[in-house]
Amino acid sequence: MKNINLIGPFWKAVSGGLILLSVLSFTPAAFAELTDAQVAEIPAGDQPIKFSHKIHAGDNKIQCQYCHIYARRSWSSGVPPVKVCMGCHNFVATDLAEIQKLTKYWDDKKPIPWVKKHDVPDFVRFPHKKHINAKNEVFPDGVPCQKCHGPIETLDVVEVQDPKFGEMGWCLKCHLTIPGVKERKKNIKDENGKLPFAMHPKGHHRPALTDCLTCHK
Amino acid sequence: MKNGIRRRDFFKTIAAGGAATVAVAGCADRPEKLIPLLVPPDNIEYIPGMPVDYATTCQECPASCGVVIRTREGRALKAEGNPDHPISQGTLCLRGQASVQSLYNPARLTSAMRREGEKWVAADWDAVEAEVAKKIKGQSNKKAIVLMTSNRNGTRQKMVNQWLSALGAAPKVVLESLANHNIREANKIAFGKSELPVYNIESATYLVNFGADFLETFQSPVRNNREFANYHAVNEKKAAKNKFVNIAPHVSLTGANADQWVKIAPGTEAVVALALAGEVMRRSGRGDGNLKGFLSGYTLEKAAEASGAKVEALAQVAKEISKASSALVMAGGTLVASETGTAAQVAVNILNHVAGAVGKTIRFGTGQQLDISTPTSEVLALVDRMKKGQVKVLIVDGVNPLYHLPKSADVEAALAKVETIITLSTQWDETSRKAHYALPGLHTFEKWGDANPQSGVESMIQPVMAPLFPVKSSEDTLMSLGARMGLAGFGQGQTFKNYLMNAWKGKAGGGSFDAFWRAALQKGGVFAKVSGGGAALSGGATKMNFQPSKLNGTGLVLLPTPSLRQRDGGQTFNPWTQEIPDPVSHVVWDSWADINPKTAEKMGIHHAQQIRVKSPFGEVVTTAYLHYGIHEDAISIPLGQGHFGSGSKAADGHGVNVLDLLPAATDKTSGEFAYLTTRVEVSVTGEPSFLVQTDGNPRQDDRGIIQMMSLEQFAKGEPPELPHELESPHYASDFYRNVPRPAGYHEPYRWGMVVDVDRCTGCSACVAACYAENNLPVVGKERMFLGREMAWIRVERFIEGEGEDYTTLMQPTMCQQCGNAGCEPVCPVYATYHNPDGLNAQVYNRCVGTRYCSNNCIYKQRRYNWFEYEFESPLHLQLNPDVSKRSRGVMEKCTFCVHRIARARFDANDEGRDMRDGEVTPACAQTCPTQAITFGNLADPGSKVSRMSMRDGEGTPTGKRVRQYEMLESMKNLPAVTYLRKVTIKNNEKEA
Repeated sequence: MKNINLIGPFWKAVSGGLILLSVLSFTPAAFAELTDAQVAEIPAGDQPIKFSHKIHAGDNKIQCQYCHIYARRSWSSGVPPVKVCMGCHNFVATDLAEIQKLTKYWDDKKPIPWVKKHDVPDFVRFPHKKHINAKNEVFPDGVPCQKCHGPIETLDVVEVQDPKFGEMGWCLKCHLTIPGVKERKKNIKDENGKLPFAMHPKGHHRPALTDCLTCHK
Repeated sequence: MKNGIRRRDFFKTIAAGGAATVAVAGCADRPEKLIPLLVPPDNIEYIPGMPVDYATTCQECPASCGVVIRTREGRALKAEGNPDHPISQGTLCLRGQASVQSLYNPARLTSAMRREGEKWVAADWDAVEAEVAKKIKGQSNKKAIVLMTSNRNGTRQKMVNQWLSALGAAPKVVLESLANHNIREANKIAFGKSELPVYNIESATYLVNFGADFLETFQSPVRNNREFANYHAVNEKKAAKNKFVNIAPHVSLTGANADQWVKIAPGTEAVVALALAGEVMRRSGRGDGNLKGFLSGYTLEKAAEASGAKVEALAQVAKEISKASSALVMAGGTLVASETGTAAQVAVNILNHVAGAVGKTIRFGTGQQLDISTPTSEVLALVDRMKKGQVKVLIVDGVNPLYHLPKSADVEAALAKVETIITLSTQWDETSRKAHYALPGLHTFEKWGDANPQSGVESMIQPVMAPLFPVKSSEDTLMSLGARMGLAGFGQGQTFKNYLMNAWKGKAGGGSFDAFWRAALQKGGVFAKVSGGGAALSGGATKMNFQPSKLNGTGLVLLPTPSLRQRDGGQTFNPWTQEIPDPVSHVVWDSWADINPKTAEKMGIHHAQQIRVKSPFGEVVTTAYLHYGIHEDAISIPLGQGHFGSGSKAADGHGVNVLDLLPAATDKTSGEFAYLTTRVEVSVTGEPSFLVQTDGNPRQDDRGIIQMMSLEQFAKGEPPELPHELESPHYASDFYRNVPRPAGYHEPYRWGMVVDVDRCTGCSACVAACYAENNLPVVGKERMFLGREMAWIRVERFIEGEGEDYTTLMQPTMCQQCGNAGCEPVCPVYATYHNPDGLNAQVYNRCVGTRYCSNNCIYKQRRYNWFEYEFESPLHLQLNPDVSKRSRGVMEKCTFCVHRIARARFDANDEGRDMRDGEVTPACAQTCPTQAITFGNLADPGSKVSRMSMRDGEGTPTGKRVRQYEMLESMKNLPAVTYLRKVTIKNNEKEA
């Protein structure tokens, strides 16, 4: 795993167009380890390509948001454009059968029909970006992806880990830990006889995190 | 609760029983697919889940308002006015709001087609195009090739002209049902200026209107609405109000907004205008001796006799015109379009001249370019040539002559004689069904173009989404046909976009064209201010024949009127235009015939009775609508209904086409189609009629739902006495206890709204905007009849006064988001409650559909989903993903566009602050052309809505409330919507 520190510069180099240079300076231990036989041992899911989050996010420590580029910018996290996959897999592990499936999609100019696993109901507004950029007392660095999605980086096949995922109580469990939210819900008044309305550390009033309309469309 | 079972536990128990059944049924969600982009677009910052707005131009009518189209994931969702555009200034009308429905019209043509016998067969585009090119090229007599196109100007017309002249064909024929030739011709005769000036209503201090439906369809309705509201709304500082006098035989929406209606006999506008001019001249001394001599022949007495108006009323109007510092007289529309319509316009020009309006409120040189149509006389001549077989090839580009020309012109027979008809239309309609080849065009929102509705306004049209179907824009089709035929100037592979960019190169000035082009696209066009000037009256003005033209037939005079919702019938394909009631009659999905109750009584006709209307040229069967706003000697039927061959469920088979009753007559001078030509015999059929009206009781019965006050009361600062029902309600006023909210409950927001009834013209744009924004289903005529319409906002209309001395009151009515709501305590499942933002929340997932809330809502604002309503494909693509599509058995209502609040709130929070005033606007307030609706935070004493409503977040008055009132205040529901009373001008004829 000594090549980990190379990963960051490697991606920058690829996107900067300095492909040849980086391939030369790159010790292939981290990526080229896998063979088709090894891939075959990875359990198969129902996805069109045997994509392993364990290999990408776990073994190779690629940041979630390197691929999931919309999560911090949008209400929906989106799914990585095929171009993002091809950014690396033009060069990395191109000989594997699974990667050739990807290359075929790319060459045919067809998107990959991934199967959705973490599905928030359509009647709910769930702004990904608000959670990832939360930066509050409870989550000083924003809500980590794993908080809702589970230990993704250990999974070869992604399935919903928490059976209660997406249920309202499951969401509220977290919302109620935010300061002021519980007091307000239970009508607990402050010393001035007013309902507390905790301010966000950024300086604005928090939305009522237990109010139906905050989430329900 | 005391007995040990909690509400939630109770429902959990029930739910457990329910869950078992569900599990047996195996009702699991189907796995959804995540389809990624292949390559994210690099020219825009595209983020899935975030809206992208594009500036373009609405082409539903020639007014060409600038619009911003909100798109999500590459689909156009909603049209809103472009704030940078000088015509729309950020607002849009009903038809503009419905433009997204013409984009997703289920009757759109989806591929190239060929007609084989009576059957249409889809075919390869290139094959059809090659065949069409061969047909056109093979035509030896090029003059026998005719292209009919729609009344939309811009570079496309330049290209079409070039195409036709390269081909050697006859000049193009531009069809328009609501043309302005009379006005242009009259300006040429009276002022030597063959143009359509801009009517500057805003800068006038006195407005007289001869029948122009300027708040509905006349010229530029969005601008007219805005300017009229600015003109007519009470000036709070000066406690003054400008008066609007409507002189017409029929009261439509525009007339309903008038302070005074001077009823005149149809066709007598010219005589009345000249008599007024004579009197104004006598009083003001403007005008020269020649004119004086001429006008001495037109006295008020004679005019009163001819028109049936009272002399006193006319004298008063003349006096007020002469006193006004800046008067404006408008005339136009179908009511003035007789065979001597130009003469009426000349008479109005003379009146404007003596009133001093020309150069002040009417400015020449500002040039409205919104009518480039061919006079109907020439179109009819073409139809004759077609009948004689002199037209071999007809290219129909987005027009529907078979519907828009009267049956008596027999366009059907004419089309049958044409060897090859090619339609470039986007949708099926009567004419495109008669074609032989279809090379369908694209909707405005999918193609390139520009529009030039007024001098100095160059409006861009850019595609906001990829074409819905594999078809080409009509411009591209013509260019590619030109290339196939080897026409000069039309090379292979050229596109209209390149043509357009070349045409715009000249406008760029010195700088980089690329930067200029991008800026123009972003802003929606290039806008310059043209101020214009006056014009002198020429001697020829007095040489017209001003007498009313002779009418055909016997009986009542037929007044066809343009429809606010469907204009001339081009918008009938959009279901919202059918479902949204006409604000004056409140009729949906149908035609109706306005008849004066006095006339009806004489003829033995009752309201909503089926009648047969017969003219020498045809007959229709429709429904009588008794309405005091029409002359006793007239009957009025709106245009726009009676489609039969469009294949659109929204248009076909509803109502009648009033053109079936008319002869193919035109104005003698200008060639404009003459609408006022015919008398009709009316008889009762005896068959039952099925007219659906949504107004219920047109009378307020002292309930004070819409309130008004006189200008004197306003000046004194005295609110008027409350109507009886509000003053001493017959119900126990302590029945509705106030539920106290803990202090700080409404921090930091308590959303509220102020609706200025004085500014509202009833144009119903808010209703259409709500349909577009909130995924409201269209339920159809039968269900409307059962009271199952789904509109979250409606324009309430009430009639005050007796007989012809009546006032029409209109007010947009939406959920009042009550602080002490009737709906909340009766909900057994807590699906509706008062949320911390002051909204009356409705949680669809909790709702079990008891409908108790609806029964207990005193404002009748709750709508129940009796069915799983269908959004006919591809109309479903318009659904807003931010708003749930409600399913059967669920109650719904206005949310104050809570999804917009959520987005605005999160965006503000990203910046670490609370929302600012004006940062969030619901769809209704956003589109309102008169800006009658204001939305904001009542908890913030500095917000506009707090200042206007004179109340704080808890409903406590913060100052003296003069115009402010809450609907049905005595019921103590504490609504969050405050209305501002309409201020009326007392019409005192004795003063004259």
